[in-house]
Amino acid sequence: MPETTPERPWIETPLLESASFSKICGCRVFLKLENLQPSKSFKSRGIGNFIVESIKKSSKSSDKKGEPHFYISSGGNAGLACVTASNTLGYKSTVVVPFSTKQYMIEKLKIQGADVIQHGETWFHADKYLREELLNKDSNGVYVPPFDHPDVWTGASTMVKEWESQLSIIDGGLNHHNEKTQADVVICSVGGGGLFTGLMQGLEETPNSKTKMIAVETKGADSLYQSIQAGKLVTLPGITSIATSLGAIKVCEKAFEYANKSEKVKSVVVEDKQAVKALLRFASEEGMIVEPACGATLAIAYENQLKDLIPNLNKDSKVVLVVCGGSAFNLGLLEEWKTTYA
Amino acid sequence: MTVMPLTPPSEPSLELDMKNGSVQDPDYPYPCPWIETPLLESPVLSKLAGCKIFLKMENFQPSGSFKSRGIGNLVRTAVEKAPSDTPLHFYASSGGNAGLACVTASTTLRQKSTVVVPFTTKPAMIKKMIDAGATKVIPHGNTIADADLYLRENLLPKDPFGIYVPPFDHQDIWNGAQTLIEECYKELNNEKPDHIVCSVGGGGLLIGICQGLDNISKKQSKQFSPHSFNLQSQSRKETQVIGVETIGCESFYKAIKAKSLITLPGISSIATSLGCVRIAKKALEYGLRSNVHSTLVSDKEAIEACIEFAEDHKVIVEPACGATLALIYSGRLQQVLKVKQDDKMVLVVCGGSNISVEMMYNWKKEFDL
Repeated sequence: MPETTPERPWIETPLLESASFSKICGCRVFLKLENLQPSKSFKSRGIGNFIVESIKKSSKSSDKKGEPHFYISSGGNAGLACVTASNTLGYKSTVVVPFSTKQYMIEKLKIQGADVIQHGETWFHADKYLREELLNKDSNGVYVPPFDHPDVWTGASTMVKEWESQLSIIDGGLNHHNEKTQADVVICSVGGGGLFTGLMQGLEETPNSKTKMIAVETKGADSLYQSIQAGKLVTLPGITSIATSLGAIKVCEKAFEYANKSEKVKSVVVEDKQAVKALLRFASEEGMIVEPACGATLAIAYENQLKDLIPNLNKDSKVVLVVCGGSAFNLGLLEEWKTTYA
Repeated sequence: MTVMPLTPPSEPSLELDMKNGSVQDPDYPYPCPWIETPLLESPVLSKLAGCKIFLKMENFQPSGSFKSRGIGNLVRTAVEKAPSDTPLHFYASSGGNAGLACVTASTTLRQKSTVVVPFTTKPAMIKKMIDAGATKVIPHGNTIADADLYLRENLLPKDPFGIYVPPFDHQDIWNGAQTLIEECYKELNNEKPDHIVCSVGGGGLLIGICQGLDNISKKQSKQFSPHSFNLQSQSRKETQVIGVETIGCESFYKAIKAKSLITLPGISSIATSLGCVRIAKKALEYGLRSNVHSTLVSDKEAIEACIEFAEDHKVIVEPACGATLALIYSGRLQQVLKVKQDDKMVLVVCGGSNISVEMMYNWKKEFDL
């Protein structure tokens, strides 16, 4: 039975075939429900794996130190994933967040068992305090990077094998070549690019992979799209999108490499309004509340942009939407945005 | 934290009655109209309840509610029994989840389906039935009883291939609902939960759960030798079943108090999916057992639970389902039974499509939450 274990502080998430999305897109659309992860987002995989690997390294290392203590400067989904995974595995964690962090996110971090310290006006100040004041003074301290680390990517990559197995089972077993069923298209949102890089890595491990990838960002947080247009890594001057979880001013280099070299990747940008409309519709039709960052992916399917992005899709084509989840959203905001955007 | 993907289970370690279970045998020609749903541990609710809370996420069923199991099994069994290639047509009278489950299951099994809905049915619900592949959705009558009468007198007699789909009072429905507890048993590493909480409308779900628990106990007592007393007594611990209703549709609660079936004069709760004036006879039989408990929550508590659940778990459910969650959120659990910290309690998140974000806002205002 799949369960969180010392090797894996995340879960195998369900893959649901969606009748309503399939009808809109004219092909078979599946939802990979990463919003059901223990931390409510896909970050449980990447950051969970980083923490597992750090624990392994520390138990192997010859100088006998104490147990690792995990530090992260994120009041968002990465922070929640770090705290949830540390707690599941029985390790301590500390989160430093800027004063601007919403109180209910701080409560969520605390209920999972973290020390939460509020410091500084911006993320930059919080991170600086974490590194200089806390990490430097703790010989057992481990800094947890939100997205730019191979262990994070490897954790995210586990999703690929999962959906390939699930698609095979839905199709009634392995195909006549004894291969698992691949998705024709996968759609995911891109922030710092950790999820995207992980999925590309996972797809590389599949023999004869034919899966195409649509990487979605919102306008104002489109660091990958801008980089591809420029042919080099671009640092955005700032983030102007409401999809703050996608708000990395620069994607990781590996994400840019994958997107730039592969013909299988399409980078697209949607407006905030499209992302919000999609998440409002998702809440009403599917009964799940997700962040605008996740709404960006849903918008591609709701607006049926698929057929333009990937020609030759037919009714049997299989499309996986990564419902990446996220906690930085609630009913109150839903209500507020409904009047602003819908 | 546990989860099962929507995939067939691995080998059951216990020989459960899998004919009606969710095993997808590739050689079995009738697709299963329901899925194995995830069982998720909830740190927030565990903290509130003082024991380990697991959520059985029936809201992810193809029809949006647990009804996919019971009604799905009834439809599937009918198709299985009919000579092959008989074009069956399934008829349900329902303005809600039973109708949607009937249509969804019929479509999965490539059969026709017609739902007669009372005029009060919301357009969004009718649209969902049509989207799910209903052959016809016919609005008729002011109440579900009127709709049902029309169906039985005007539609069914005219269709030689017509099959009536009752909402809850049928053995095939209970057999389908039973698969829920079989799944929980596996997901909890072949252990029965200490407690299981579900909402009660007509009682189909509660009957299925009790029936399933009985079957597991029977199989277990066969498995253990008479010498392993310890194991035996442990495995034979009786699961406490708690049926929750809202005040205003407490047909189960009243029947247990009176020790006989009671017909309510009407329904006065917003949890319309629980709005059944008379429960199934079998539900009363189980309800009189010492391990089965009946309890009530107010509409306000149910709505409050829906709102809190949406904040904590990002999932929107209808008040009928909120009633189960309210047992924990309202703190009423203590009035029903004492729990220990290591106890495992399953809450059946029964789902339901009769909800929208707008409805939640309106209730939020109405109840001043």
